[in-house]
Amino acid sequence: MFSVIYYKYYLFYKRVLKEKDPYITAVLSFSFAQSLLINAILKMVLAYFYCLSYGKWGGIGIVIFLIFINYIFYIRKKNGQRIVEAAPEIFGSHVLSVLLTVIFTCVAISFMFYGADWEIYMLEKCGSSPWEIF
Amino acid sequence: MNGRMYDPISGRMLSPDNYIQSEGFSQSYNRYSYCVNNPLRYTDPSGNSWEGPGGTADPGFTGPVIPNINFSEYFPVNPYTTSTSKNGSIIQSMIEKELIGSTREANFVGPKESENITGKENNNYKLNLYIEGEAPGATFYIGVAGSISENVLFSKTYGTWMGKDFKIRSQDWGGNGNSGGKYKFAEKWSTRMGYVGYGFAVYGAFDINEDYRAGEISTFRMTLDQTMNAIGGFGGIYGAVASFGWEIGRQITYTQSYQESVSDFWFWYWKSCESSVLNSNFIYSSPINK
Repeated sequence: MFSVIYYKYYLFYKRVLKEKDPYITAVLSFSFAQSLLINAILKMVLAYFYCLSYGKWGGIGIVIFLIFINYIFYIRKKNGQRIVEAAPEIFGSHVLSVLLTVIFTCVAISFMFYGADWEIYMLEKCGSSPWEIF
Repeated sequence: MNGRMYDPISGRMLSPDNYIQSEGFSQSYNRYSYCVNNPLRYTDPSGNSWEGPGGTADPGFTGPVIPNINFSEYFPVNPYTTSTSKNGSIIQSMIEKELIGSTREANFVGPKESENITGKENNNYKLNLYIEGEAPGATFYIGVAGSISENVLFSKTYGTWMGKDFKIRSQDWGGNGNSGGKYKFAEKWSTRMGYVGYGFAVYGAFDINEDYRAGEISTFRMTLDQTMNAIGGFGGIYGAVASFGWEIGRQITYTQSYQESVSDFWFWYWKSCESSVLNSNFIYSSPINK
């Protein structure tokens, strides 16, 4: 699934924005999207189960870590080139692949806008029964 | 306590206190603090009022007070008109906003009650409303300028590139040693600006999130900034450069000197409108409170 999303990111930067180095731009954006999702999930879990939270540098640290991992995987080990040559699609459907990429990106971006509110909500519900969350 | 959640990062409660416990004590009006912002001295076992070291209710507690305050009592002189008649409306709207949900500080610098201020002397007093990141202007202009600069620096779309002698040329000129060779200098700096912009976008995304969580910025401001950060994070080099400019602008609007200059501007603007205000029932819904 990640290969498909990476490939669509690559195509977006190569064809739409005409980037000079779409491989690296795709890695940066993909890492940012992944970090938003991971941060959101981590913050919710910590807030609800442990009444804990962490600041911006924790989030930025996760981004840097993911950029490093993705850079090694997609650029240094040349998996990015292999994925582009293979042109993977979900069930062979271009539309489904684009839809998955758009949904993934929108969900990630939504955490930028609603993450803080949801985190506060989960902190307020910390220690309560799971039925009270919704 | 068990009534309100505490956010250790912002150092604030996540919800306001139920009551303003001491009318005459200004710290009581910050309903997001714990025990009038003095947790080392006081405790609040009931969740309704702060208590002194002996465990007895502090004599400062006068019972629940609904925040219906005569603000003219606290700010008796209007710095704009030297009249008390309009005073409540400006200050009340400012402070009510603080009471309702924000932890931002509004520092009012004006003439004291005892001072006899008239005419020209009164102009020396300034409204010093310092609200972090609230003043608009620089963020927008610098963000747009950054994006345009990047395009001028190197753009196949517009057919321009800039050499290291900082002269802008068209794409059909081949370049030389003085200009750093065709595209080379421009491409290098354009890419660097993009990476720095991406970094700013990532930083900004988490920073804005934290500021919003601490109640320091409005929802509108958060939405605007996060939109720019999303463009910076996902918009390739153009978005990243725009985000680069936006973040620099945001940091500029954080500075007190910028805030004061904006406040001064509106002060003189209000002064120029003074005569028409005095002769009408207009209530100050000032641009600075937006």
